[in-house]
Amino acid sequence: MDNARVNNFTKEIISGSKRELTNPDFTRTLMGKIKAENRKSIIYSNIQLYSLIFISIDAVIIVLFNLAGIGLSNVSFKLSSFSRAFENFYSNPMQFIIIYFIVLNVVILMIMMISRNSYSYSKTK
Amino acid sequence: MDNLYIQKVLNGDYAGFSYFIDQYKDMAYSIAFRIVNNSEDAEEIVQDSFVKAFKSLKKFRQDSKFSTWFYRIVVNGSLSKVGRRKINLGYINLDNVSDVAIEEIELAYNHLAHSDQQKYIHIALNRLDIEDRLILTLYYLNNNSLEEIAEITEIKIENLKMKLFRARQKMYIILEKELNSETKNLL
Repeated sequence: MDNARVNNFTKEIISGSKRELTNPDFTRTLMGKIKAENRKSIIYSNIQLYSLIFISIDAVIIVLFNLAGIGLSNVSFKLSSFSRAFENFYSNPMQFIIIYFIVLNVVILMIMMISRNSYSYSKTK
Repeated sequence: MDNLYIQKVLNGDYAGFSYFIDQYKDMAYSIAFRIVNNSEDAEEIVQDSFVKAFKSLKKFRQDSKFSTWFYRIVVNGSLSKVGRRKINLGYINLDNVSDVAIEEIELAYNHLAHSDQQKYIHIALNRLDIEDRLILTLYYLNNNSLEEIAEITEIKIENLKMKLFRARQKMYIILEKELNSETKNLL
């Protein structure tokens, strides 16, 4: 029997053993998993992006205050105890400004992050 | 077409990935089933492989076909499931390989009802080891070239031709034995 004929016969019999997925929900279930993965990766990349922005802005603020001759050692100590820092707001306006900037910074970033997440999600929905 | 949908998915349109699912799910399932021999496990492997392909799509360099890359993920996932063990249910002597009368097998096979044909093919394939089943499925069912099979299975191409030939012969030896016993039973 020549090789081409053997090949054809083999192809015929192996084709007879073909398997097909019978689960009608297979694609739907899988697309649900893909959607979840997609969301997860968007959130992960957003966290990375906003962490980077957050760190950069804070670094700029720290550099600016250092240039202005305001040391951060006292401030970081005060930050570790928020109530104490709050008490000092009235006595030390510069500390108040620093804390105000950092809190504002965090709030803006959170708003941006939430709005970007909902935009990305609606875009891919 | 594959490249177009790859770009779509990479541009953020995750729904475009359903194209790949529709296109490759059945073949991926056939490959996984040939290795794990269990429909539930095969389905799970195919799902996991698609999720893995979606997550790694950025890393796909497109120097091979998407299907080749994806089937490799399926094969690796299936082999992990069976623990890379090689199942060989019976030693098959290949000394008299050329003596296998494929014409007679073809004749006997064509006389069988469709359901019996499927039954004997499943028996024959299940008695082969995983590697042989996989090579035969990729070559004869999915029409993959030897180069593609080499990439999917990580077998050197120079060994692959011989492995394919031997796998085919082993299958015919088993089929011949099974069909002979069927004929004896009928007589």
